[in-house]
Amino acid sequence: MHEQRLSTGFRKKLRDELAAWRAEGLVSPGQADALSGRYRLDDLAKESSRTLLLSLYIIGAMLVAGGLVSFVAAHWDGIPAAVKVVLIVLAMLACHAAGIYLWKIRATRPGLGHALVVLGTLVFGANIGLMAQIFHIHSNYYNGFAAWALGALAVAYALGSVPNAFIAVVTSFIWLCGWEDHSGWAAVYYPFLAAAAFVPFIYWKRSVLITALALLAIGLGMMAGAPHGRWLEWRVIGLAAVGAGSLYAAAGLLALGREPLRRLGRVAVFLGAVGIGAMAYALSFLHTAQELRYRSWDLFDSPWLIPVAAAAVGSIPLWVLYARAWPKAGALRPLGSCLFSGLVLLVAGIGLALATPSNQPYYLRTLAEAADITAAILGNAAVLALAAGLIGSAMAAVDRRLFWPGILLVVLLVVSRFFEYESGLLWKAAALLACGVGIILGGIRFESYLRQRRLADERP
Amino acid sequence: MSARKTLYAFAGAVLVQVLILAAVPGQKMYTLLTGRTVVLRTAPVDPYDILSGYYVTLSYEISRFDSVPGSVAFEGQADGTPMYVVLRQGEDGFWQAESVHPARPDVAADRVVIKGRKSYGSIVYGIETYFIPEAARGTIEGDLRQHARDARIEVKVDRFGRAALVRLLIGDRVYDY
Repeated sequence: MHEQRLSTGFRKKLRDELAAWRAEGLVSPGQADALSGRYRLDDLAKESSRTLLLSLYIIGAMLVAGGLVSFVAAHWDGIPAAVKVVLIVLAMLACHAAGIYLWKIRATRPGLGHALVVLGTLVFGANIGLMAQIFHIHSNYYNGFAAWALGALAVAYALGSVPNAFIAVVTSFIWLCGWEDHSGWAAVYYPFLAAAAFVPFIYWKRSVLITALALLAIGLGMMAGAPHGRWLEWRVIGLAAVGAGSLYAAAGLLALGREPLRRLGRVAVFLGAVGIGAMAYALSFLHTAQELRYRSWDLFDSPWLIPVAAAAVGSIPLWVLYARAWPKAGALRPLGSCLFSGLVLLVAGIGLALATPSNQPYYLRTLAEAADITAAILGNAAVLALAAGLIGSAMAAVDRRLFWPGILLVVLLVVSRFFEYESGLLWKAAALLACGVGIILGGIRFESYLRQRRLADERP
Repeated sequence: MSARKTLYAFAGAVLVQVLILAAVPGQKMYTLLTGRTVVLRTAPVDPYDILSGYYVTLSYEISRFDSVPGSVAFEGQADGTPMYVVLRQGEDGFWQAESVHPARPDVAADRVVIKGRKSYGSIVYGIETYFIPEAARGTIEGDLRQHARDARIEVKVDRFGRAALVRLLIGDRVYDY
């Protein structure tokens, strides 16, 4: 039933509206009851108190566990190793057993039961460290986080537990950071492993939190890769942002067209637009194009590119699917087409900068400089395309949340160009004044447009 | 998913957690049960900060490149490169490095092969940390300061070259935790 997947915000709004419609006689009491039943509006109060209770139970359970751990720690040294092992494993099993009993078997306290299961996974994580301590095992700390992530993920899938999935994403990311620092290969494997681990869960549970965290972790994983010895290389970060951004934007735009996935689509489109927009903004500076051209091919002497290339190639069929679905994309059509145009301009700019050889004979230097300038122009055009998409969609959807980011992008671009090329205070002042006045006039115009559209919508 | 299936899935997930916990000391237990006893001369890494937290950080004679014949060949290698060090018992009872190889060599019965990894200009064997109880901290610290040259570690080394700490010996005292 698709109504079960609708956001709580939408259902709350519908509940308020339904009461008004009923009072105004727009719907009969029978129709109101039918709508209320269809969208489970009576469950809303119960659902919000359930979320609050779950949070309180998790905090309470963690405090109780902290007290017990301190109590045991006070006597820890005198306890034989075998007893220590039995104690810590029993503590974990007790949390899990009590949790599943209250949540699923007796089902009288699902919130408390869920909190205890989460506590069981937290105790499991602590137990990994304690086992290493008891048996004098010296290992890289990140291996412990990998084991923790695996255990948390198993419980997340078994019970559809979002808090356990949260623990799995966070611990797996810590694992990536430690692993990458030691071996440099983590960034190659991690995006694939994390995608395989979390994407099915996201699709199953439709959790916005896990979607945002997992997509961030996968994207940052791609950015962490670098040619040997140059961790956090900005060019790698930029190119990874474009690869991940293209995949997220395409997948998100497709998801926006399917009601059950709409909220997840928004997260993916947002992250995709941030990735594409950030690199487009960076390329809008002439210096960036020159840096990309300078020793450009040394970027590719490392396998970090594999997940980035996979994301970029994987996004192509998604863009094709989106192009087919585009006529039905509604108010967000301008955003979709402008995101794609911005991406194409950006890729063309990056491609041009990378393809232009760094060491030119003197008679070809002008050509290389022309290539740099063209790449920077393409970067500026990509940012403008993104801004146009945001503003266009804001007009079509009558939504100011898209309008202001679009306007701010334009202003950012104008101000950046002035500071990049013009040092005269008078010109800077003129540019800032023009931007300020532009924002105010644009805002007034847009608000008046919103008012007119709303009035038009309210007319019978 | 039906309630029964959910319970089975959860039981499986908890089993995964228990198996992971069992795997943490699994290799160590195997080494302790099947390994050969070797005594190594040791010293705390930093004489001014012997105990950091509740463990002693140890360094061995065989951790230093200049104490391992043939280790020069590994100087250009990346950190993490495996190093198989052949040990032979000296007349004083301590085991000393005789040679080092990139792969595990076959050795005579009176020799032991211990596997290490290159790490920041030295060799680590996974036996560099010895956890101690908080109550024993003062005693061990005092002993280490007094008998710094007479600290030794008893380890077991299994047939794959993996080592596991057994006990710490300082002077005539034995610390077995």
